[in-house]
Amino acid sequence: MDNLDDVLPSHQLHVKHFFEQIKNMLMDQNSDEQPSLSLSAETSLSVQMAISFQNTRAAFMAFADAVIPSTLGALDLRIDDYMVWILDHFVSIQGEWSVKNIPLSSQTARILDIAAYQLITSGNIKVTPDYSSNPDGGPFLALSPNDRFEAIRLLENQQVDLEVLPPPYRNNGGLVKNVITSLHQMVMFGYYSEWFSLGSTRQAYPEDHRIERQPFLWESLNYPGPSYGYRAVRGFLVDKFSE
Amino acid sequence: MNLDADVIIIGAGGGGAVAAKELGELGIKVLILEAGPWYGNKKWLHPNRERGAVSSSSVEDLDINLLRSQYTKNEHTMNSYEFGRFRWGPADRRRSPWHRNLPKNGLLWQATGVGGTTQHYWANSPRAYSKAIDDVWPISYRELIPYYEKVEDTLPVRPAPTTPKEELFYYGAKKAGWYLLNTLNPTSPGYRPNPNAILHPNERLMDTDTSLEEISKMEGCTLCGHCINGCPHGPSVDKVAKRPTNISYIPLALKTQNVEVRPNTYTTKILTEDHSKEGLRAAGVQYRDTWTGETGELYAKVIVMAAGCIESPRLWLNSNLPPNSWVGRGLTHHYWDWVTGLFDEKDLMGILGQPSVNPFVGPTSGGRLDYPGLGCIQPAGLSPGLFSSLTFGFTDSGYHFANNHSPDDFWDQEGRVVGNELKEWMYNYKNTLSMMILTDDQPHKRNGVTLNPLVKDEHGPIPIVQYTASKEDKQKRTLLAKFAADILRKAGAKKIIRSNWPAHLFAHIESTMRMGFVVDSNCEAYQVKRLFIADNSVHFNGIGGPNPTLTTQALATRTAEKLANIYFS
Repeated sequence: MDNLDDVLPSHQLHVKHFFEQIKNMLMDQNSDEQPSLSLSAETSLSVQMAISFQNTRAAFMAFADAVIPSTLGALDLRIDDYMVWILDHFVSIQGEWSVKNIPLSSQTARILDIAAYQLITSGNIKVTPDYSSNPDGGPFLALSPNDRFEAIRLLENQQVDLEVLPPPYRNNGGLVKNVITSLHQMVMFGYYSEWFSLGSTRQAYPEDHRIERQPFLWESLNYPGPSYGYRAVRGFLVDKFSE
Repeated sequence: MNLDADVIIIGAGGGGAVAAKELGELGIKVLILEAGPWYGNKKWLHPNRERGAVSSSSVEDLDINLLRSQYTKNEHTMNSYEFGRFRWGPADRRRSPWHRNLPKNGLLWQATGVGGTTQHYWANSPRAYSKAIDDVWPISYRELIPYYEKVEDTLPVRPAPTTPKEELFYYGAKKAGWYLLNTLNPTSPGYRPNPNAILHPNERLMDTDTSLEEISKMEGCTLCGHCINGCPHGPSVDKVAKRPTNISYIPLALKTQNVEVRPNTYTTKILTEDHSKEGLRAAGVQYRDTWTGETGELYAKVIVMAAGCIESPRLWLNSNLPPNSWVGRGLTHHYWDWVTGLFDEKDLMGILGQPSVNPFVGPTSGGRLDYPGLGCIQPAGLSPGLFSSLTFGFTDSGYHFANNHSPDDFWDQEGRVVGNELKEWMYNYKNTLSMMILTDDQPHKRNGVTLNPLVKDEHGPIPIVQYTASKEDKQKRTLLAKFAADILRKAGAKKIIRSNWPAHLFAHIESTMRMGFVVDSNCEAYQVKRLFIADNSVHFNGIGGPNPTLTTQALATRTAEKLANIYFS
């Protein structure tokens, strides 16, 4: 694919190093090799569970990478950006004076980490979590892709302790299920639609979006993209309906 | 009192635009208030960037070049649930959508803008099954026929042409033993082309001397496959191939010179008065401008709610109109499902004479199987982003790999697909055919719309929408899924996945302000005179499973006639 620098908005360049670091780690996880070093779950959790920018990003990178893995997976198309943007802009409700935006990405990342932590402490993991490659990521990032799906299953089957989830998810199993479905749909819709071809404008407000490059992914699907039409008339089975 | 119009209609979607045109033709002055933007109108050159004008009432304002630039056919731009041009929210896309509360896994698919949800509907326009109307509704199927005919003629509605995906569907349906139907009113099961509100393809479409770009500016469908992402193809706005109401009825309404449409105007309250003879009656509305936040009041002799099955009951409840335990209740939504088959290129060569299905070619859905008493099945083809997220990401079954699979199942997989398996399915996108399932679900009082008094958007307490399927509805849906899988298998599908969509998928929403419960057989509210409803909410039930828009449009035509007779004769 093209050089990532070409499509990264300038305000994102400072996180590029972080992105590369996590991406390399995820690539390693996708191989069958066992991690060589891991901290105990308890030790790392105290460090990991504080909500931080890195922690949030890492959880969505891990999520996107699991749903559509490399090569040329959802992470290569920065679908984690898409998820964070939507989650942080999607909900607004009326406040005392005006409509207030309620960003949800950090809380949503946190429920992934809480589920991952619960999976790890339950011992029902297939691969030892790898905290070594990136100390800024949370437990969800440390899981192998298959174990991430197990953590997600705990959430959607309401097998996590709903009381420890942050609002608005606390004791709200329906909303948790709703967001889990939405996250998967976001990855797929973001990845297979024209979003990435918006290039440097893709994190701008929607009316500032511009198609900057051909959606190269569609070629691999043999999808020609938006079309003027197709010469595909094969006749009419019924010319006119009767009463 | 100074009146702003004879009739105020709330919502310029599938129903409101129809009522406006009919009333305008009778010489009645109509003002339509629409919450969203107006695409393809010169008074709003940048409808998502600037407030623009307040209203438009001239057909001269419509501009096909503008519509072409705004309906880009790009699925993310148009149909992103959160920020697409068709999303449920203010025209200013810097702002969040209007938050709606679904207490479970699911999706509430509303749309704003002149044309409403018909902007991204597939234009499938079958009539209700007479079996679901006769001796069930307060009015008969026969009573509806002249109104159906008028709408079918106006839109117009035509049998869809056959393209590769329809041919594959017909092949499988015939092999599975279903009969071909050629009727507007199926009374027994069978398959047929979809009656679509889409102009037939231009004769020059198959003539390679004319470029497709040129043909896209002529009259007729180009089979471009973007019905769901908005159709901009045609020589002028009123002659665009797909016939949502911003294309079909609104231009006709404007031509009467009696109709004014005011977009970006959210109706927040129905105003009433106590009249010595009529009792409680509607007198006007309170609105809020979605760009400026300014509020105001508008008055008319009659008010028509056409805001849709969620917003009409919400507006009733937020207006503190008289209590009625059926307001918002009895919701049906066809309890959708989705079954997709994967085909081998060799088999396709034998059946279609080409190695792929190309689901992105042709009308989004050009065929259907009707089964009165059970529901419908429609072959469908979506653009890849929508296809992947709806086929592999939208489910109530969790990950397919975690489900116990029985070899007796009619499908090979059920539930969400991720990882390399997802990439493999999508790599074969061109060789897939999906079948949408619409169930003849029945109205139950537990299902519907209530208000959340604690959570508000800028227009007041927001609706909470709930649906639980009954045992009978589940059985019907599963049977339809089996029929769909069988047709795919008979057509040669090598692998079949049932998505098992969440029961909280709200599209085709009907019957939340039912005739006989909230409105009388003229669609006037029992408890508030001069308040009529002209959207899907007045349906007594889910009309048996067929797509609801044509029936709403027939009823809106009838309601306009009744309303004019009662209050303007």
